[in-house]
Amino acid sequence: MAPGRRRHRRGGDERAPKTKTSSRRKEATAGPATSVHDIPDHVLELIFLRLDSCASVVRAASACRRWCHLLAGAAFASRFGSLPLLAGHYHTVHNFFDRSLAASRATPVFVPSPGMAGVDPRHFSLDFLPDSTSWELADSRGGLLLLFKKSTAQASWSWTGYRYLPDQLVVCEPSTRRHQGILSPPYLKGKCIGLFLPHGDGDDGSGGRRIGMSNFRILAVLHEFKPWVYGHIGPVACAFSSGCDGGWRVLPESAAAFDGDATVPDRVEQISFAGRVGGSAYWAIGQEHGASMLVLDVATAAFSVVTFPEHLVRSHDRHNFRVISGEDGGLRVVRLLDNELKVFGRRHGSDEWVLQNHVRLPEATRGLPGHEDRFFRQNAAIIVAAEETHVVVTPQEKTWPFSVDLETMEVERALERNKYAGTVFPYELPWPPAVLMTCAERGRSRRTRR
Amino acid sequence: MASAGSGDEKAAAAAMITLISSDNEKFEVTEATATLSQTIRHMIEDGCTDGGVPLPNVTSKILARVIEYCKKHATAAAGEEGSSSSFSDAAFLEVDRAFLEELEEFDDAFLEVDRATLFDLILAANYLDIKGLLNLTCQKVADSVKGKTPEQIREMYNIVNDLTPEEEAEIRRETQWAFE
Repeated sequence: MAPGRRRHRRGGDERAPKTKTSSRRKEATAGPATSVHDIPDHVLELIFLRLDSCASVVRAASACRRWCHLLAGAAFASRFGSLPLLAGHYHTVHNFFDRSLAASRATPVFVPSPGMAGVDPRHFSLDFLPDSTSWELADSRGGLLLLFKKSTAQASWSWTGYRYLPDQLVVCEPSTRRHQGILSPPYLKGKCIGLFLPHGDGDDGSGGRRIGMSNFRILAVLHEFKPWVYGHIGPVACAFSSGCDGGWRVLPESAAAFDGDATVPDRVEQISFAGRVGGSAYWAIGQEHGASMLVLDVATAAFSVVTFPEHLVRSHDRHNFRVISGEDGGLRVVRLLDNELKVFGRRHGSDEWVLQNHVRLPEATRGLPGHEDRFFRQNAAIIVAAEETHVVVTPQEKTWPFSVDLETMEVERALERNKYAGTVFPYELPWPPAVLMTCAERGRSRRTRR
Repeated sequence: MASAGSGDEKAAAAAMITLISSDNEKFEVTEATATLSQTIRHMIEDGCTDGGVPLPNVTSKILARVIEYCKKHATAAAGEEGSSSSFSDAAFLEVDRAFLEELEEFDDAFLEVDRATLFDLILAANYLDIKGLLNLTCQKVADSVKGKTPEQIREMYNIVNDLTPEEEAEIRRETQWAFE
């Protein structure tokens, strides 16, 4: 704020009453009482920045066009900091950990983030989906979720490492309770090692990536897929796009990296999904092929193989190996071997991997409520879910999830997130919602100086 | 702010500044009080405060309140400065806490004003560039919007709803979660 300079109102609401204020302070002794209409835009923004929750922000934005314009504007967005709004997480319960009938009919549970205080989580329930208990979550992106039809015939893919590409998929937007079913054509029958929602087509230039029901895409990664056609066994990406010229298509160019190169194992059993960090998905591959990771750039559908230190990837599987994001967007590796959780990261500006933190679980969990002596004796603990701030872990003797804070390495059992033994999907609401943007645009007729 | 209470405290306290409101009322304040306003601080630095500082944007009624705020907070700044040298750490913390509590009580009482005055204070704090006062008053308005429906907000602040019924319905549909 440049001091000592008079600021002029801009983009004010001409339609609001008594705003003819060319000499606005002069009339203060006798004129009408000062109101919110006298407050300049940049000061009104300071007020909006102090709103306590996402719900307050949305309600304030629908008070009038001027407020809508300010709250939906890029200037506000850039100061608001945490964009898009992290509305919460969808927690799943996986049948690997809970074979009860109740669990098999469970739908993902929405747990709101602190910024959503006062919002009823039922608004984000998935009960609007047809046959709502029969879907399993595969990915989330912005305000959209990608789900696939649970299969009774085979164990779920995320734990055995693969399944066949499900025949039925659905993409939905819980905030507006809209959904679209998608069938996968029979010719795409192949072992599927990943299902993703990339960013939408036609991202706008204003910084906020817009993905919605009208422009989403789906990326499926197939393995051992028609090698007689594609000339190799390694992964091939298939994309579905919505819209009039949409539909499924195979992206043979995605596999070009593997031509004449045998770095990806032939058998899906040797590939374990390790997580999604930034715009990329990672699979640990290796054993006899050396230690490496298969990386998919989800936006461009380009594969690459990255070599990793042998000790980092050794005897990987879905339960003991994960990647998570580190500081400044880098990669970290989480290993859980012999009941010891280890976090590896790269030293700033170097390729060298170092052990950042570690904790022995049998010792750390002793004394937690519900802890039993038999835990960790017969079998080693396994990873349930891994996120940037914490890893959820359970002993194999009994499903007893607890989380390890990756900063303090302290164990914690009571938090909400430890109730659900399954993968966690972040759910973001794009800010501003498209509708506010449109209203603001329509209102911005003459003066748009910034 | 902090510099006012240090070595040249006496000199600073002796220096008085005259502020002139829009309705030509004169207010004598110490430099320590006046320089809580960045706008006035810069004027002092530029040496253009002789003969008083005209503030054509601030009425005497509002200026009196603003000065009340600045006096209290300037004392707070000076008090902090002094106590750090003459008390042990524990005592300092104790004094500090009591002081902060007192300041908080003062702020709460200070904000007990009608809406028009609150907006006048915001405009004055913005014009005079008094960060603490601007934060305090903006927070008060933000708190008043908390948990309110758009209708309640409009009523509270005399805002005319210029969204079309269709637009409003569309917003409701797209952001249903925000409206119980």
